[in-house]
Amino acid sequence: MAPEPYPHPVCHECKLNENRCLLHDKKFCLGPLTAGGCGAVCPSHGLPCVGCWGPNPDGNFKEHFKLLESFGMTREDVVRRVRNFGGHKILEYIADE
Amino acid sequence: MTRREIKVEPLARVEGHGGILVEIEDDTIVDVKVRILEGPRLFETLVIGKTPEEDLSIVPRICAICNLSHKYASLRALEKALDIEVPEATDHYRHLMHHGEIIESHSLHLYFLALPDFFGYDNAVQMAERFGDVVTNALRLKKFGNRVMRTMGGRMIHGENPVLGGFGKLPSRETLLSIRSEAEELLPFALQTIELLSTLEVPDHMERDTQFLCCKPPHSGYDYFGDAFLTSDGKEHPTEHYQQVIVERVVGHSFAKRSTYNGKPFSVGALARTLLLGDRLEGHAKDALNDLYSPQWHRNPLYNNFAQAVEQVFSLEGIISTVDAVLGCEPPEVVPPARDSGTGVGAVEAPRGTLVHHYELKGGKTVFANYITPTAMFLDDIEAFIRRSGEELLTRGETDNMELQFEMIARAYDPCISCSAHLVTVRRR
Repeated sequence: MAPEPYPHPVCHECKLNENRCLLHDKKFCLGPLTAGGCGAVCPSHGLPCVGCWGPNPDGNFKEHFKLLESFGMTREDVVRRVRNFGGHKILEYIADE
Repeated sequence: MTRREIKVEPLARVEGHGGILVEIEDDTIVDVKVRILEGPRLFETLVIGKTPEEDLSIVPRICAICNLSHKYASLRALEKALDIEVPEATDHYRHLMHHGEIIESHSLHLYFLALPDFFGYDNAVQMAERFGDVVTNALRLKKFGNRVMRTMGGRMIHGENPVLGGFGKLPSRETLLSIRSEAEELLPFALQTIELLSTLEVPDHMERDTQFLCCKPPHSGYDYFGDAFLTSDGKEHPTEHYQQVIVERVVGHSFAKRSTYNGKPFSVGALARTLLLGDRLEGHAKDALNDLYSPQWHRNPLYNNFAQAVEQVFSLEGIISTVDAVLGCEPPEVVPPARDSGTGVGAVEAPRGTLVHHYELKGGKTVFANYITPTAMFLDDIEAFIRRSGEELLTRGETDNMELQFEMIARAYDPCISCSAHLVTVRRR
């Protein structure tokens, strides 16, 4: 049986927790691309989201990759990190990358 | 010639999917296999080409029960590799986190997985009919361990809060004080458990001599980490030499590797620690060990359950003293890495025994990793004890319920089967 879908990204819960957005500080946060439900636990500890709950279906992967690259990270590094916890289904989201 | 098999599958009340297969020919044990059926986990290859930060979020996924031990072992290895020296205050916070995990894991094992066997119940729920207070308090103790893990780890399981060089966020003074007072409240129950255990009759049919190994703490007290291993032959080995001390091999019936020391099986875990480091204990923990200890501990793995009860006392007292130490320190800053390449071996004592993580980093990426879990160390010893038990039970003619006796031996070690299934050989290029 598949887990119950959670239709919000980590950012949704991060906002509810009133955290300062880590992307302002050019931290490699995967919150916008990641399914929430964890309560934005890592950003709430001042740590970037590593994407461990898998892809958020509404994530704008293309734009977020560009943003992360503008922080000085290579495309290869970005894709590798997204794939760490993305599972097989992440391939649907990053097919163009 | 009559040939029969005793097969326990699945082995219940342990973590993961395993089984026991004992073959008997006439009245002789011809084969004993502790079968690890969990699929291989491949972690040593999963981290290749990744940064230390990624390693630290991937590797604790080896285990949900002792995820913080895996985190801690990786932190110790990676910080050595990257030449990071954390301040004393960070060490205190890490102690706190580790004590929480020991309490969480030991209380789960002792009361819920092991004790029902001793009292003749199938599980702790049945046991609650006669031992309601014990089961209720055991749940409180387990919950407290989880609370400490959640506070320091960041969430119940796989928290990302411990990072290279420090912590993302430190708990408030109020939280620390409330953890301290909860530890004080639970200490009487941990001591009551010592009394309860002292009344138990412990089977002796498996007794044989074995070897023990644990980490040697870098100070004069009892602890759960170190940069050297102590072995029961009185020797001391630097952790960097772990591959010569803990010699691994692959066997056909198990997805976990097997280990020997000096070519023979050995034990790790609470029993090994209390036997090798017990004279370093202080306070109630020292009294608890004195009350329970007997020379049989050296020959009988069922006393691992007793040793866990002693460590519960030690860790509750440890939480009280660690909170006091933390409150006397300035909040530590996160220490950045001094370099991006290097090699490091980190060893800690996970609840069920010695855990070794080894990394080699080049240009900020992992090029080699090796993990040896406690279960991969003591599986040979479980088989040896089951064989001895089978021989003795056949000699005594006590063959009514050999399955349960074998299960109790395996369970006493609190094996973590999912952790242990690492059948990957990583070749250096």
